[in-house]
Amino acid sequence: MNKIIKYNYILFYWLSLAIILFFVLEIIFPGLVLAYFNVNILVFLWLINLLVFIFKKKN
Amino acid sequence: MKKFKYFLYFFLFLATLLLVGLYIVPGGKITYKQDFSKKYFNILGGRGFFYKMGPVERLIDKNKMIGDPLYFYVRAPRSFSQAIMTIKYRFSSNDLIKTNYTNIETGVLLDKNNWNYNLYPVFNNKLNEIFSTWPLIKNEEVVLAQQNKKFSKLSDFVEHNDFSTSVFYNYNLNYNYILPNYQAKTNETLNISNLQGSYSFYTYIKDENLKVDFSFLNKNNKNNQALSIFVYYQNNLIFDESLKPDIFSLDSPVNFNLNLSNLPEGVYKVEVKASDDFLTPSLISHNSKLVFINRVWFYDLKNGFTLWSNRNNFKIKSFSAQCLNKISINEENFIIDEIYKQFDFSSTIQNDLNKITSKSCGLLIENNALFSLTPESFFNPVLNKLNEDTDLNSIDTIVANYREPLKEGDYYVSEIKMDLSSALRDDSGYRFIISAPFLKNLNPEEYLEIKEIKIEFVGKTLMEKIKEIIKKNDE
Repeated sequence: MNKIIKYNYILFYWLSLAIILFFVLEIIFPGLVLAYFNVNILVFLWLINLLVFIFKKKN
Repeated sequence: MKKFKYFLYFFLFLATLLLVGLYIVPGGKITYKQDFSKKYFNILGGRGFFYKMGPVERLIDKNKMIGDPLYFYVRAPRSFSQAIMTIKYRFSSNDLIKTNYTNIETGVLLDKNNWNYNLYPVFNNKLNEIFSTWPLIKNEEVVLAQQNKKFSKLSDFVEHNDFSTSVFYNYNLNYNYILPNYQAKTNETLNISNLQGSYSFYTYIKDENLKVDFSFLNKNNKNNQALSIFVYYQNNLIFDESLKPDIFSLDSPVNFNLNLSNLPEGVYKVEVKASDDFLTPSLISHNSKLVFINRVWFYDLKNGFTLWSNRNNFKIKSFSAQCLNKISINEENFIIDEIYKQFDFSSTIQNDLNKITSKSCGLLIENNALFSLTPESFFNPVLNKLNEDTDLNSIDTIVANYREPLKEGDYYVSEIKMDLSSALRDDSGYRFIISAPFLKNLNPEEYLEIKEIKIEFVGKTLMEKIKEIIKKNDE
Protein backbone atom coordinates (compact mmCIF):
# COMPACT_ATOMS: atom_id res chain seq x y z
CA MET A 1 0.00 0.00 0.00
CA ASN A 2 2.80 2.31 0.99
CA LYS A 3 4.50 1.65 -2.34
CA ILE A 4 1.35 2.50 -4.31
CA ILE A 5 1.08 5.83 -2.48
CA LYS A 6 4.72 6.59 -3.25
CA TYR A 7 4.22 5.82 -6.97
CA ASN A 8 1.08 7.91 -6.83
CA TYR A 9 3.08 10.80 -5.40
CA ILE A 10 5.66 10.56 -8.16
CA LEU A 11 2.98 10.40 -10.88
CA PHE A 12 1.03 13.25 -9.32
CA TYR A 13 4.05 15.58 -9.26
CA TRP A 14 5.12 14.47 -12.72
CA LEU A 15 1.67 15.05 -14.20
CA SER A 16 1.42 18.45 -12.44
CA LEU A 17 4.81 19.45 -13.84
CA ALA A 18 3.85 18.19 -17.33
CA ILE A 19 0.61 20.24 -17.28
CA ILE A 20 2.45 23.41 -16.13
CA LEU A 21 5.23 22.82 -18.65
CA PHE A 22 2.80 22.30 -21.54
CA PHE A 23 0.84 25.38 -20.45
CA VAL A 24 4.04 27.48 -20.50
CA LEU A 25 5.07 25.95 -23.86
CA GLU A 26 1.64 26.76 -25.30
CA ILE A 27 2.05 30.41 -24.20
CA ILE A 28 5.58 30.72 -25.62
CA PHE A 29 4.90 28.72 -28.80
CA PRO A 30 1.13 29.09 -29.52
CA GLY A 31 -0.55 25.99 -30.93
CA LEU A 32 2.49 23.76 -30.46
CA VAL A 33 1.32 21.34 -27.76
CA LEU A 34 -2.36 21.29 -28.68
CA ALA A 35 -1.58 20.41 -32.31
CA TYR A 36 0.32 17.26 -31.37
CA PHE A 37 -1.18 16.15 -28.10
CA ASN A 38 -4.60 15.93 -26.48
CA VAL A 39 -3.88 17.64 -23.14
CA ASN A 40 -7.34 16.65 -21.85
CA ILE A 41 -5.96 13.14 -21.35
CA LEU A 42 -3.19 14.53 -19.17
CA VAL A 43 -5.63 16.56 -17.08
CA PHE A 44 -7.94 13.55 -16.80
CA LEU A 45 -5.09 11.33 -15.58
CA TRP A 46 -4.03 14.05 -13.15
CA LEU A 47 -7.58 14.20 -11.71
CA ILE A 48 -7.79 10.40 -11.38
CA ASN A 49 -4.43 10.49 -9.67
CA LEU A 50 -5.61 13.21 -7.34
CA LEU A 51 -8.76 11.28 -6.46
CA VAL A 52 -6.79 8.09 -5.78
CA PHE A 53 -4.37 10.12 -3.73
CA ILE A 54 -7.13 11.71 -1.58
CA PHE A 55 -8.98 8.42 -1.21
CA LYS A 56 -5.87 6.52 -0.11
CA LYS A 57 -4.88 9.28 2.31
CA LYS A 58 -8.34 9.21 3.92
CA ASN A 59 -8.07 5.46 4.39
CA MET B 1 11.48 3.85 -7.36
CA LYS B 2 14.15 6.45 -8.21
CA LYS B 3 14.72 4.88 -11.62
CA PHE B 4 11.03 5.23 -12.40
CA LYS B 5 11.11 8.86 -11.27
CA TYR B 6 14.18 9.66 -13.39
CA PHE B 7 12.65 7.86 -16.36
CA LEU B 8 9.46 9.99 -16.16
CA TYR B 9 11.37 13.28 -15.89
CA PHE B 10 13.76 12.29 -18.67
CA PHE B 11 10.75 11.42 -20.84
CA LEU B 12 9.21 14.83 -20.14
CA PHE B 13 12.50 16.54 -20.96
CA LEU B 14 12.74 14.63 -24.27
CA ALA B 15 9.09 15.42 -25.12
CA THR B 16 9.70 19.14 -24.48
CA LEU B 17 12.85 19.08 -26.61
CA LEU B 18 11.00 17.29 -29.40
CA LEU B 19 8.07 19.72 -29.31
CA VAL B 20 10.36 22.77 -29.39
CA GLY B 21 12.24 21.16 -32.29
CA LEU B 22 8.97 20.62 -34.15
CA TYR B 23 8.11 24.29 -33.61
CA ILE B 24 11.43 25.74 -34.70
CA VAL B 25 11.92 23.18 -37.52
CA PRO B 26 15.75 23.40 -37.40
CA GLY B 27 16.17 21.36 -40.59
CA GLY B 28 13.95 23.77 -42.54
CA LYS B 29 11.56 21.02 -43.68
CA ILE B 30 8.43 19.64 -42.08
CA THR B 31 5.51 17.60 -43.41
CA TYR B 32 1.92 17.73 -42.22
CA LYS B 33 -0.58 15.19 -43.42
CA GLN B 34 -4.27 14.66 -42.89
CA ASP B 35 -6.49 11.82 -44.00
CA PHE B 36 -9.91 13.45 -44.34
CA SER B 37 -11.67 10.13 -44.94
CA LYS B 38 -10.92 8.91 -41.37
CA LYS B 39 -14.12 9.06 -39.39
CA TYR B 40 -12.83 7.99 -35.96
CA PHE B 41 -11.41 10.30 -33.34
CA ASN B 42 -7.85 9.74 -32.17
CA ILE B 43 -8.12 10.19 -28.40
CA LEU B 44 -4.39 10.77 -27.82
CA GLY B 45 -3.75 12.94 -30.86
CA GLY B 46 -3.93 16.71 -30.84
CA ARG B 47 -6.10 18.91 -32.99
CA GLY B 48 -3.70 18.60 -35.91
CA PHE B 49 -2.54 21.18 -38.40
CA PHE B 50 -5.41 21.26 -40.89
CA TYR B 51 -8.53 23.04 -39.73
CA LYS B 52 -11.54 25.22 -40.60
CA MET B 53 -12.23 23.36 -43.84
CA GLY B 54 -15.30 25.01 -45.27
CA PRO B 55 -17.73 26.70 -45.73
CA VAL B 56 -19.60 23.69 -44.28
CA GLU B 57 -22.55 24.08 -46.68
CA ARG B 58 -20.16 23.24 -49.53
CA LEU B 59 -19.14 19.94 -47.90
CA ILE B 60 -20.86 16.65 -47.30
CA ASP B 61 -19.38 13.89 -45.08
CA LYS B 62 -16.70 16.42 -44.06
CA ASN B 63 -14.54 15.76 -47.14
CA LYS B 64 -16.82 15.75 -50.19
CA MET B 65 -16.81 19.11 -51.90
CA ILE B 66 -20.11 20.02 -53.60
CA GLY B 67 -19.60 23.80 -53.95
CA ASP B 68 -16.84 26.08 -55.07
CA PRO B 69 -14.46 27.19 -53.63
CA LEU B 70 -13.33 25.46 -50.47
CA TYR B 71 -10.94 26.95 -47.93
CA PHE B 72 -8.80 25.48 -45.20
CA TYR B 73 -6.04 26.63 -42.88
CA VAL B 74 -2.75 24.94 -42.10
CA ARG B 75 -1.09 25.92 -38.85
CA ALA B 76 2.52 26.77 -39.54
CA PRO B 77 4.78 27.46 -36.57
CA ARG B 78 7.10 29.69 -38.63
CA SER B 79 7.45 31.13 -42.12
CA PHE B 80 8.45 28.95 -45.03
CA SER B 81 9.44 29.76 -48.60
CA GLN B 82 7.82 26.84 -50.39
CA ALA B 83 5.05 24.31 -49.90
CA ILE B 84 4.82 21.03 -51.78
CA MET B 85 1.21 19.91 -51.60
CA THR B 86 0.22 16.36 -52.47
CA ILE B 87 -3.52 15.99 -52.79
CA LYS B 88 -5.41 12.71 -53.23
CA TYR B 89 -8.92 13.05 -54.59
CA ARG B 90 -11.60 11.45 -56.70
CA PHE B 91 -14.74 12.49 -58.53
CA SER B 92 -18.26 11.28 -57.73
CA SER B 93 -18.39 9.75 -61.21
CA ASN B 94 -16.35 9.69 -64.39
CA ASP B 95 -19.23 11.40 -66.21
CA LEU B 96 -18.40 14.53 -64.26
CA ILE B 97 -15.02 14.74 -66.00
CA LYS B 98 -16.36 13.71 -69.39
CA THR B 99 -19.27 16.13 -69.60
CA ASN B 100 -17.81 19.25 -67.98
CA TYR B 101 -14.73 21.36 -68.34
CA THR B 102 -13.08 20.14 -65.16
CA ASN B 103 -10.42 22.43 -63.88
CA ILE B 104 -9.23 22.20 -60.29
CA GLU B 105 -6.80 24.68 -58.84
CA THR B 106 -5.32 25.20 -55.42
CA GLY B 107 -3.54 28.15 -53.94
CA VAL B 108 -2.46 30.14 -50.97
CA LEU B 109 -3.72 33.51 -49.71
CA LEU B 110 -1.44 36.44 -50.52
CA ASP B 111 -3.47 39.42 -49.43
CA LYS B 112 -6.35 39.54 -46.96
CA ASN B 113 -7.65 42.92 -48.17
CA ASN B 114 -8.46 41.70 -51.66
CA TRP B 115 -8.65 37.98 -50.84
CA ASN B 116 -6.04 37.49 -53.50
CA TYR B 117 -4.84 33.88 -53.97
CA ASN B 118 -1.89 32.58 -55.94
CA LEU B 119 -3.42 29.65 -57.82
CA TYR B 120 -1.71 26.51 -59.14
CA PRO B 121 -3.24 23.82 -61.37
CA VAL B 122 -4.26 20.47 -59.87
CA PHE B 123 -6.41 18.82 -62.53
CA ASN B 124 -7.54 19.81 -66.01
CA ASN B 125 -9.47 17.30 -68.12
CA LYS B 126 -8.83 19.12 -71.44
CA LEU B 127 -5.08 19.10 -70.82
CA ASN B 128 -5.13 15.45 -69.70
CA GLU B 129 -6.83 14.60 -73.00
CA ILE B 130 -4.30 16.62 -75.02
CA PHE B 131 -1.35 15.18 -73.11
CA SER B 132 -2.45 11.67 -74.01
CA THR B 133 -3.08 12.33 -77.72
CA TRP B 134 -0.85 15.18 -78.97
CA PRO B 135 2.96 14.97 -79.30
CA LEU B 136 4.65 16.72 -76.38
CA ILE B 137 7.92 18.55 -75.83
CA LYS B 138 8.81 18.92 -72.17
CA ASN B 139 11.05 21.67 -70.88
CA GLU B 140 11.38 21.21 -67.11
CA GLU B 141 7.83 21.90 -65.82
CA VAL B 142 6.59 23.48 -69.07
CA VAL B 143 5.00 21.34 -71.77
CA LEU B 144 4.61 22.32 -75.42
CA ALA B 145 1.84 20.29 -77.07
CA GLN B 146 1.40 20.57 -80.84
CA GLN B 147 -1.39 19.14 -82.95
CA ASN B 148 0.97 19.14 -85.96
CA LYS B 149 4.58 19.20 -84.95
CA LYS B 150 6.12 22.49 -86.14
CA PHE B 151 8.62 23.31 -83.39
CA SER B 152 11.29 21.08 -81.93
CA LYS B 153 11.99 23.32 -78.91
CA LEU B 154 9.93 25.61 -76.68
CA SER B 155 12.32 28.49 -77.41
CA ASP B 156 11.63 28.18 -81.19
CA PHE B 157 7.92 28.53 -80.49
CA VAL B 158 8.41 31.56 -78.22
CA GLU B 159 10.59 33.31 -80.80
CA HIS B 160 8.20 32.88 -83.76
CA ASN B 161 5.90 35.51 -82.13
CA ASP B 162 2.54 34.53 -83.70
CA PHE B 163 0.29 33.16 -81.00
CA SER B 164 -3.12 33.54 -82.70
CA THR B 165 -3.75 29.77 -82.80
CA SER B 166 -2.00 29.03 -79.52
CA VAL B 167 -3.41 28.62 -76.05
CA PHE B 168 -1.61 29.05 -72.74
CA TYR B 169 -2.29 27.47 -69.39
CA ASN B 170 -0.59 28.60 -66.18
CA TYR B 171 2.24 30.06 -68.26
CA ASN B 172 3.19 33.72 -68.48
CA LEU B 173 4.92 34.50 -71.72
CA ASN B 174 6.95 37.69 -71.71
CA TYR B 175 6.27 39.04 -75.14
CA ASN B 176 5.98 42.52 -76.55
CA TYR B 177 2.49 43.10 -77.90
CA ILE B 178 2.44 45.69 -80.68
CA LEU B 179 -0.82 47.28 -81.77
CA PRO B 180 -0.61 47.78 -85.55
CA ASN B 181 -1.28 51.29 -86.93
CA TYR B 182 -1.59 52.80 -83.44
CA GLN B 183 -1.22 56.53 -83.18
CA ALA B 184 -1.36 58.49 -79.97
CA LYS B 185 -4.27 60.94 -79.63
CA THR B 186 -2.83 63.60 -77.40
CA ASN B 187 -5.90 65.85 -77.24
CA GLU B 188 -8.44 63.21 -76.27
CA THR B 189 -9.08 61.85 -72.81
CA LEU B 190 -11.05 58.88 -71.51
CA ASN B 191 -13.19 59.82 -68.52
CA ILE B 192 -14.29 57.02 -66.24
CA SER B 193 -16.23 57.72 -63.08
CA ASN B 194 -17.36 56.05 -59.87
CA LEU B 195 -15.27 52.91 -59.51
CA GLN B 196 -15.15 51.04 -56.22
CA GLY B 197 -12.39 48.97 -54.59
CA SER B 198 -9.46 47.44 -56.43
CA TYR B 199 -9.13 47.34 -60.18
CA SER B 200 -6.47 46.92 -62.82
CA PHE B 201 -6.29 47.85 -66.47
CA TYR B 202 -4.09 47.63 -69.54
CA THR B 203 -3.17 50.73 -71.46
CA TYR B 204 -1.12 51.13 -74.61
CA ILE B 205 1.42 53.83 -75.30
CA LYS B 206 3.61 54.84 -78.22
CA ASP B 207 5.68 58.04 -78.24
CA GLU B 208 3.60 59.47 -75.38
CA ASN B 209 3.57 59.56 -71.60
CA LEU B 210 1.64 57.06 -69.55
CA LYS B 211 -0.70 59.61 -68.04
CA VAL B 212 -3.68 58.89 -65.80
CA ASP B 213 -5.28 61.34 -63.34
CA PHE B 214 -6.91 59.59 -60.41
CA SER B 215 -9.16 60.98 -57.74
CA PHE B 216 -9.62 58.74 -54.68
CA LEU B 217 -12.06 58.89 -51.79
CA ASN B 218 -12.11 56.95 -48.53
CA LYS B 219 -15.71 56.40 -47.46
CA ASN B 220 -14.88 54.83 -44.11
CA ASN B 221 -12.91 56.87 -41.56
CA LYS B 222 -12.08 53.67 -39.65
CA ASN B 223 -10.31 52.26 -42.71
CA ASN B 224 -6.61 52.30 -41.84
CA GLN B 225 -5.29 50.59 -44.94
CA ALA B 226 -3.18 52.23 -47.59
CA LEU B 227 -4.09 52.48 -51.26
CA SER B 228 -1.37 51.32 -53.62
CA ILE B 229 -0.76 51.93 -57.31
CA PHE B 230 1.51 49.67 -59.34
CA VAL B 231 2.60 49.88 -62.98
CA TYR B 232 4.01 46.83 -64.78
CA TYR B 233 5.68 46.49 -68.15
CA GLN B 234 6.14 42.92 -69.41
CA ASN B 235 5.46 41.57 -65.90
CA ASN B 236 8.15 43.80 -64.37
CA LEU B 237 7.20 46.41 -61.78
CA ILE B 238 8.29 49.83 -63.08
CA PHE B 239 6.44 52.12 -60.67
CA ASP B 240 4.75 51.87 -57.29
CA GLU B 241 3.23 54.39 -54.95
CA SER B 242 1.37 53.95 -51.69
CA LEU B 243 -1.14 56.52 -50.43
CA LYS B 244 -1.26 56.28 -46.65
CA PRO B 245 -4.70 56.32 -44.95
CA ASP B 246 -3.91 59.49 -42.94
CA ILE B 247 -3.96 61.68 -46.08
CA PHE B 248 -7.60 60.76 -46.69
CA SER B 249 -10.38 62.63 -44.97
CA LEU B 250 -14.06 61.90 -45.48
CA ASP B 251 -15.76 63.68 -48.41
CA SER B 252 -12.60 65.26 -49.77
CA PRO B 253 -11.03 63.37 -52.67
CA VAL B 254 -7.26 62.93 -52.93
CA ASN B 255 -5.87 63.51 -56.41
CA PHE B 256 -3.01 61.49 -57.79
CA ASN B 257 -1.51 62.15 -61.20
CA LEU B 258 0.36 59.25 -62.72
CA ASN B 259 2.71 60.55 -65.37
CA LEU B 260 5.53 58.31 -66.61
CA SER B 261 7.70 59.45 -69.50
CA ASN B 262 10.33 57.94 -71.82
CA LEU B 263 8.67 54.57 -71.93
CA PRO B 264 9.03 52.16 -74.86
CA GLU B 265 6.02 51.33 -77.02
CA GLY B 266 3.88 48.55 -75.62
CA VAL B 267 1.26 47.43 -73.14
CA TYR B 268 1.38 48.63 -69.54
CA LYS B 269 -0.62 47.18 -66.69
CA VAL B 270 -1.80 49.62 -64.03
CA GLU B 271 -3.05 48.12 -60.79
CA VAL B 272 -4.91 50.00 -58.06
CA LYS B 273 -4.91 47.90 -54.90
CA ALA B 274 -7.38 49.17 -52.35
CA SER B 275 -9.94 47.90 -49.89
CA ASP B 276 -13.63 48.11 -50.82
CA ASP B 277 -13.91 51.31 -48.74
CA PHE B 278 -11.89 53.21 -51.34
CA LEU B 279 -13.73 54.81 -54.22
CA THR B 280 -12.42 56.33 -57.43
CA PRO B 281 -14.89 59.12 -58.28
CA SER B 282 -12.87 60.06 -61.33
CA LEU B 283 -10.24 58.43 -63.55
CA ILE B 284 -9.03 60.40 -66.55
CA SER B 285 -6.76 58.59 -68.96
CA HIS B 286 -4.75 60.64 -71.45
CA ASN B 287 -3.98 57.45 -73.37
CA SER B 288 -6.64 56.38 -75.83
CA LYS B 289 -6.55 52.63 -75.17
CA LEU B 290 -7.73 51.33 -71.82
CA VAL B 291 -9.24 47.96 -70.89
CA PHE B 292 -10.15 46.82 -67.40
CA ILE B 293 -8.99 43.35 -66.43
CA ASN B 294 -11.50 40.78 -65.12
CA ARG B 295 -13.75 43.13 -63.14
CA VAL B 296 -15.43 46.51 -63.03
CA TRP B 297 -17.33 47.72 -59.98
CA PHE B 298 -19.44 50.87 -60.35
CA TYR B 299 -21.16 52.80 -57.55
CA ASP B 300 -23.56 55.79 -57.39
CA LEU B 301 -24.03 56.17 -61.14
CA LYS B 302 -26.65 58.68 -62.25
CA ASN B 303 -27.38 57.42 -65.78
CA GLY B 304 -26.25 53.81 -65.74
CA PHE B 305 -23.33 52.54 -67.81
CA THR B 306 -22.26 50.94 -71.08
CA LEU B 307 -19.35 48.53 -71.27
CA TRP B 308 -17.72 46.55 -74.08
CA SER B 309 -16.17 43.17 -73.51
CA ASN B 310 -14.58 40.28 -75.40
CA ARG B 311 -16.83 37.82 -73.50
CA ASN B 312 -20.60 37.41 -73.49
CA ASN B 313 -21.08 35.81 -70.06
CA PHE B 314 -20.56 37.50 -66.70
CA LYS B 315 -20.94 37.14 -62.96
CA ILE B 316 -22.92 40.14 -61.77
CA LYS B 317 -23.70 41.30 -58.24
CA SER B 318 -25.54 44.24 -56.73
CA PHE B 319 -24.70 45.56 -53.27
CA SER B 320 -27.57 48.02 -52.97
CA ALA B 321 -31.34 47.54 -53.25
CA GLN B 322 -31.59 50.86 -55.12
CA CYS B 323 -29.29 49.51 -57.83
CA LEU B 324 -31.38 46.40 -58.59
CA ASN B 325 -32.21 46.74 -62.25
CA LYS B 326 -32.08 44.96 -65.55
CA ILE B 327 -28.89 44.53 -67.54
CA SER B 328 -28.64 43.85 -71.23
CA ILE B 329 -25.88 41.84 -72.90
CA ASN B 330 -25.97 42.12 -76.69
CA GLU B 331 -29.56 43.45 -76.40
CA GLU B 332 -30.67 40.39 -74.36
CA ASN B 333 -32.16 41.44 -71.04
CA PHE B 334 -31.45 39.90 -67.64
CA ILE B 335 -32.92 40.91 -64.29
CA ILE B 336 -30.91 41.49 -61.12
CA ASP B 337 -33.54 41.25 -58.40
CA GLU B 338 -31.57 40.30 -55.28
CA ILE B 339 -28.77 42.04 -53.49
CA TYR B 340 -25.52 40.22 -52.59
CA LYS B 341 -26.51 37.37 -54.92
CA GLN B 342 -24.09 36.52 -57.71
CA PHE B 343 -25.98 36.15 -60.99
CA ASP B 344 -24.46 34.21 -63.89
CA PHE B 345 -25.71 35.76 -67.11
CA SER B 346 -24.79 34.58 -70.56
CA SER B 347 -25.92 35.99 -73.87
CA THR B 348 -26.73 33.58 -76.70
CA ILE B 349 -24.99 35.95 -79.11
CA GLN B 350 -21.20 35.99 -79.19
CA ASN B 351 -19.61 38.94 -80.95
CA ASP B 352 -15.98 39.97 -81.10
CA LEU B 353 -17.02 42.88 -78.91
CA ASN B 354 -20.08 42.44 -76.73
CA LYS B 355 -22.14 45.37 -75.47
CA ILE B 356 -23.30 45.48 -71.85
CA THR B 357 -25.70 48.23 -70.81
CA SER B 358 -27.70 48.95 -67.68
CA LYS B 359 -29.52 51.83 -66.03
CA SER B 360 -28.42 50.46 -62.64
CA CYS B 361 -26.70 52.85 -60.24
CA GLY B 362 -23.92 50.37 -59.51
CA LEU B 363 -22.95 46.75 -60.13
CA LEU B 364 -19.96 44.49 -59.81
CA ILE B 365 -19.30 42.76 -63.13
CA GLU B 366 -16.74 39.99 -63.26
CA ASN B 367 -15.36 37.39 -65.63
CA ASN B 368 -12.10 36.25 -67.08
CA ALA B 369 -12.48 39.07 -69.59
CA LEU B 370 -11.50 42.57 -70.64
CA PHE B 371 -13.84 45.57 -70.39
CA SER B 372 -13.70 48.97 -72.03
CA LEU B 373 -16.01 51.97 -71.89
CA THR B 374 -15.98 52.58 -75.63
CA PRO B 375 -15.40 50.26 -78.59
CA GLU B 376 -12.54 52.55 -79.75
CA SER B 377 -10.62 52.19 -76.49
CA PHE B 378 -10.81 48.40 -76.53
CA PHE B 379 -7.78 46.27 -77.39
CA ASN B 380 -6.83 42.75 -76.39
CA PRO B 381 -3.18 42.21 -75.51
CA VAL B 382 -3.90 39.01 -73.59
CA LEU B 383 -2.73 35.70 -74.95
CA ASN B 384 -5.46 33.06 -75.35
CA LYS B 385 -5.90 31.14 -72.12
CA LEU B 386 -7.25 27.62 -71.89
CA ASN B 387 -10.81 27.77 -70.61
CA GLU B 388 -14.18 26.07 -71.06
CA ASP B 389 -14.78 27.88 -74.37
CA THR B 390 -11.50 26.74 -75.93
CA ASP B 391 -12.20 24.72 -79.05
CA LEU B 392 -9.38 22.20 -79.39
CA ASN B 393 -10.00 21.92 -83.16
CA SER B 394 -9.24 25.59 -83.76
CA ILE B 395 -5.87 25.64 -82.02
CA ASP B 396 -2.62 23.98 -82.94
CA THR B 397 -0.35 24.66 -79.97
CA ILE B 398 -0.73 24.61 -76.21
CA VAL B 399 1.90 25.73 -73.74
CA ALA B 400 1.16 24.61 -70.20
CA ASN B 401 2.96 24.66 -66.91
CA TYR B 402 1.11 21.59 -65.71
CA ARG B 403 1.83 18.11 -64.41
CA GLU B 404 -0.65 15.37 -65.13
CA PRO B 405 -2.05 13.75 -61.98
CA LEU B 406 -1.16 10.15 -61.20
CA LYS B 407 -3.88 7.53 -60.92
CA GLU B 408 -4.07 5.29 -57.83
CA GLY B 409 -7.14 3.09 -58.18
CA ASP B 410 -10.17 5.37 -58.19
CA TYR B 411 -8.12 8.26 -56.87
CA TYR B 412 -5.99 10.90 -58.56
CA VAL B 413 -2.82 12.17 -56.91
CA SER B 414 -1.45 15.60 -57.81
CA GLU B 415 1.70 17.23 -56.53
CA ILE B 416 1.80 21.02 -56.54
CA LYS B 417 4.77 23.23 -55.72
CA MET B 418 3.72 26.57 -54.27
CA ASP B 419 5.75 29.67 -53.64
CA LEU B 420 5.13 30.93 -50.11
CA SER B 421 7.59 33.85 -50.14
CA SER B 422 4.76 36.38 -50.61
CA ALA B 423 2.03 34.32 -48.91
CA LEU B 424 0.24 35.69 -45.88
CA ARG B 425 0.92 33.86 -42.59
CA ASP B 426 -0.92 35.09 -39.54
CA ASP B 427 -1.87 33.57 -36.17
CA SER B 428 -4.09 31.07 -37.97
CA GLY B 429 -1.27 29.92 -40.25
CA TYR B 430 -1.52 29.79 -44.04
CA ARG B 431 -4.94 29.91 -45.70
CA PHE B 432 -5.37 27.65 -48.72
CA ILE B 433 -8.09 27.44 -51.36
CA ILE B 434 -9.33 24.59 -53.53
CA SER B 435 -11.14 25.91 -56.55
CA ALA B 436 -13.38 23.60 -58.59
CA PRO B 437 -15.71 25.88 -60.61
CA PHE B 438 -17.54 22.92 -62.20
CA LEU B 439 -19.18 22.27 -58.80
CA LYS B 440 -21.59 25.16 -58.96
CA ASN B 441 -24.97 23.55 -58.26
CA LEU B 442 -24.44 22.31 -54.66
CA ASN B 443 -25.71 18.96 -55.90
CA PRO B 444 -24.86 16.14 -53.43
CA GLU B 445 -24.70 13.70 -56.37
CA GLU B 446 -21.78 15.62 -57.93
CA TYR B 447 -18.81 16.02 -55.67
CA LEU B 448 -15.05 16.04 -55.41
CA GLU B 449 -13.89 13.82 -52.57
CA ILE B 450 -10.69 14.97 -50.92
CA LYS B 451 -9.18 11.93 -49.31
CA GLU B 452 -5.83 13.17 -48.17
CA ILE B 453 -3.70 16.30 -48.20
CA LYS B 454 -0.01 16.27 -47.43
CA ILE B 455 1.96 19.50 -47.25
CA GLU B 456 5.72 19.65 -47.04
CA PHE B 457 6.89 23.08 -45.94
CA VAL B 458 10.39 24.07 -46.98
CA GLY B 459 12.24 27.07 -45.58
CA LYS B 460 15.48 28.27 -44.06
CA THR B 461 17.34 25.94 -41.72
CA LEU B 462 18.26 27.10 -38.21
CA MET B 463 21.92 27.45 -39.25
CA GLU B 464 20.99 29.58 -42.27
CA LYS B 465 18.83 31.79 -40.04
CA ILE B 466 21.63 32.22 -37.47
CA LYS B 467 24.12 33.07 -40.25
CA GLU B 468 21.63 35.60 -41.64
CA ILE B 469 21.22 37.29 -38.23
CA ILE B 470 25.00 37.43 -37.69
CA LYS B 471 25.46 38.90 -41.19
CA LYS B 472 22.80 41.53 -40.52
CA ASN B 473 24.41 42.51 -37.21
CA ASP B 474 27.85 42.79 -38.87
CA GLU B 475 26.44 45.20 -41.46
